[in-house]
This record gives sequence, structure tokens and C-alpha cells, in this order.
Amino acid sequence: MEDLKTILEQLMANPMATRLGRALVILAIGATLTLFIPGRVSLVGVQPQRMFFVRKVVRYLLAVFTFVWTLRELGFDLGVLLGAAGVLTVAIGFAAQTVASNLISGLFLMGEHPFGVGDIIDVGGVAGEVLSIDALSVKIRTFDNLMVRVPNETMLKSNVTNRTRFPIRRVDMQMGVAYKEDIAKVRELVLAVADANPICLEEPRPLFIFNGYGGSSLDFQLSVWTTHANFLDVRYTMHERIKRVFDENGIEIPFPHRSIAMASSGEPFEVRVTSGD
Amino acid sequence: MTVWWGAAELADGKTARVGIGPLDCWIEHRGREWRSGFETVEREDAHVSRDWPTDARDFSALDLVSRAVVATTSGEITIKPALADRPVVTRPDHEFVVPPGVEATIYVGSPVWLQLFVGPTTTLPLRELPIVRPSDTWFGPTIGDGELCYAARTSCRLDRAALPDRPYRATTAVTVRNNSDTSLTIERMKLLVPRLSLYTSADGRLWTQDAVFRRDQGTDFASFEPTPGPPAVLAGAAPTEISTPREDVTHALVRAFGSLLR
Repeated sequence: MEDLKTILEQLMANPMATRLGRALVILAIGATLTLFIPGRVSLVGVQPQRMFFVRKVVRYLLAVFTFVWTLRELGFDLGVLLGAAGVLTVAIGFAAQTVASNLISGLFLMGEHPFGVGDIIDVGGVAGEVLSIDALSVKIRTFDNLMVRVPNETMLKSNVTNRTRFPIRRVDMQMGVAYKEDIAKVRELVLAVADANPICLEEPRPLFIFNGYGGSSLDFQLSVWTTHANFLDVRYTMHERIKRVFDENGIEIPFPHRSIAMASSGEPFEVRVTSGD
Repeated sequence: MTVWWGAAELADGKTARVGIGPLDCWIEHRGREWRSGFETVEREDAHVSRDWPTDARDFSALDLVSRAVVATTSGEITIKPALADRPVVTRPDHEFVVPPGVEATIYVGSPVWLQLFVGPTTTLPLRELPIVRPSDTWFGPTIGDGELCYAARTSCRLDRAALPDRPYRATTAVTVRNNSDTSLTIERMKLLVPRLSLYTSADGRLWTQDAVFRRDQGTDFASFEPTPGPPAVLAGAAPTEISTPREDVTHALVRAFGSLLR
């Protein structure tokens, strides 16, 4: 016990040992704060993805502060370090232009918030659900379960379509009927199918748009509104029911028609393709 | 109108059927398991029937079949009506105009849900669905800003005696007060049905709390105010409150959108 007391007294009398002790204490406290404080940071009304970023920033700041203070306690000249860091920064800056661009783009994306985690987006030919919005990139899960990493710089420079930003969306269906059909009757039938479908919104009203006289058919578009959850269901069920209604009412959906003439002044003649030899 | 709701006993191993309008609800009790399934049948709107119990039914032929396991083997089951779980947007068949300074009470219908409760408590239904699935619709100033609702057509009847018998619809007496100096043309109204209580009259008709749409001077908005208590039409008739509001009413006053009432 006396020996231990003597050793401690000798250590405390030694300036280097004292500094080392203080540095270790600072390091221990700093490490503890770095581990526990970021998790407890909470801002009301901030989205989870932004909160995650804020906590990361707090963690890095605490770590850097702890590191610098520890070095200072150990007697390192921070001026020299800062000088070296300045030179290193220039070198790294040239090498890390892309990283810096992605980082800054990420900040702009967070501020602008064109989409959030869970939204379905289209960007650069990739469509899928946003898994995370990170500092350098956005992770997207495609509909066939592939993970695509899109750099934030690309997101900022490209057209991004957010399919789930608004609660409802329109389903457009292109159709064609034979020239012999009555357009008014076709319109009445398809709109009745839309009215009878409870997941087609009554308002905004379904639209019947006549697109023109096609090469082989009268072309039109039926547009109905529905919620995102029912989008695929509507797209399938509407086509199925319209086909059934057309069949029940004798409405023909034509094949492409072509007229063939043997001579420049000849009458067109009927051609029928039969199977066999 | 015959009452289709209420508490009953269904013994173990038995099947029952309740018919309301175009919907048949089939229920089967097997120990702690309850099975329910539904079927749409073409028949008159006012139809109400019960087969309690009835012959066993092939549930694979029914729609929306569901099985549930409960804590006890008790055969106590309650069938209750409930109002819609979203606001209902009603549109008059024809343009309906309320001149300045005029107050009009119109009767509008909204769809009714069927709820199944097993056991003595009736707080959380085992199963619920609309008797006639109403169409979805959007209500709001733009397609990006608004709310998903159900759609209902109304004749905006002024005469209560002319109301059709439909056991799957609840009637709301809506008083429209135009306190402004311009005519109020009603194209559609959003009834905040989840905030209303449901009552029944002696004849088995379903009524909600009364509601008031009030348009004041100098505003395009019309406010929706549920009237506390049973509907006036049931005054003195000892009305029975069948179900309470789905949503807690913290503010009785809700603004409708000006572009929809002018």
C-alpha cells in the first residue's frame, strides 16, 4: 500500500504523466459522449432521414473535438497539424471532387425534399422504392428486388418522377374499336364500366377522349382516377371488364387492316390466309 | 322495415345467414373458431331476412371468407350497423339552390357498414364491411390537395315520407342555412359521417345525428356542424343509439371547401 502511494505521488509529480492522464480522461469522456449523445438528439418535426444525418454530423463533430483536445493535452502543436491538414485538403479536394459534389447535392436534396423514404420514383430509367437517402447517394429497390445506388449528383441533375407524391393518380388506357362501331355507344359502355367499379374514383370524373381515326381503328383513351394502392388493380380489372362488355355488345376490336392492289388501276381483292400445304 | 341487427346465440357447429338488401352474410361457429363469408344476391333493396340457424354452407363458394379464433367457445354474437369509416360526399341528382336567407332541411343517405362482434364486448369488431360498397371519390380544391371519401348520390328530399326503404342506408337530416346575400348552389356536400352517432327509430330505420351546413356572409366557405344528441325526427320516440362516432369529435366545426359550395 505504501509502495502504491509512493508510485502515485511520483507519477503526479511527473508533468508528462499528468498530461497523459488528463489526455486519457478527455479521450474517455469524449468517446463516451460520442457514443451516447448523438442517439439522444431529437428535433420535433424533422423527418427520420434528416434526423439520421443530423446525428451523424453531431457524432463527427464530437469525435473531432475529442481528438483535437486530446492532442492538445498531449502537447502537440496544432498549428503544424492545421498546416499539414490544409495541404492535405487541397490534395484530397482534387481527388474527391465527385464525393464533395455528391455530398453537397445531398444537402440540396434534403432541403428541397422532392421525395422521401418509401416513395416510388423514376430516375434515369430506374423505377423503384426509395430505401434511404444518404449523404452521397440514394438507394432504390426496384420492383424486381434489385438494389440500385444513384449518386446524389445524378438525382439533382436528372428529372425525377415521384409516383407517390400525391394520393391519387390517373390510369390511362388506350383502346381501339372497328370503324363500323358507334362512338357514342362505345363511350356509354366504357364509362358505365368505370362507374360500376368502386375503386375508380367518382371524382375526378372518368374521361373518354377520342384520339382520332387510326389506320385500322377508331382510337380513344379512357382515363380513370384511383388511389396508388389500387392502381394495378384498376389497370387490370378495367381492361378485363371492358373486353367482356365489348364481347357482350358485339363491339369489335379490330386487327390491323391492309388493302392490296395487283395493278395501279386494279380493284383490291380479298386475301384469305389458310393453313396447310 | 325489419331490424337486421342485434345480439343472438349461435350454438357450436351451427351456421346462420343474415340477408340485408343485396348482401347475404353467412356465419359459422365451431368451438373457438368463427367463420364468416359474404355473397351478393340480386333482389329488392328493402329485403331483410334471417335464417338462424340454417343448413351448413359451402364457404368456398362465398366471397371475402375469413376465419377468426377467439378466447372462448361462447356462442354469443352481435351484429351491428355502423356508419362509414370515411367522409361521404353526396351529390344531388340535380342542381339544388338555396336562396339568400333561406334555411332548408334535406334528407340525405349514406352507406352503412355491417359489424360482427363475438362475445360480450362490442368495442372491437371481429369483422366489418360495407353492405353495399360505395364508390371512392376525391374531395378537395385540387387533385393534389384533398381527401379520399366515399361517393353517394342523393335526391335531396325535403319530404321525409318519401324516403325509400333501404336497410343498408342511414339518413341524415341536413339543414342548409344560407346567411349570405347570394344564392347557394349545392353541387356536392361532404358529410363527416365518422363523427356522427347512429340511431334507430321504432320502424327500424337508421338515422344519424342531425347536421347543419351554414354559409355566412362574406365567405365562400360553408361550415359543417353536427347537432349534439339524437336527431330531431326521433324526438319523443326514445331513440336508441346503436353506435357512437368512429372519430373523437374535438372540433364540431369543420370548414368545407369554397369551390364546392357556391
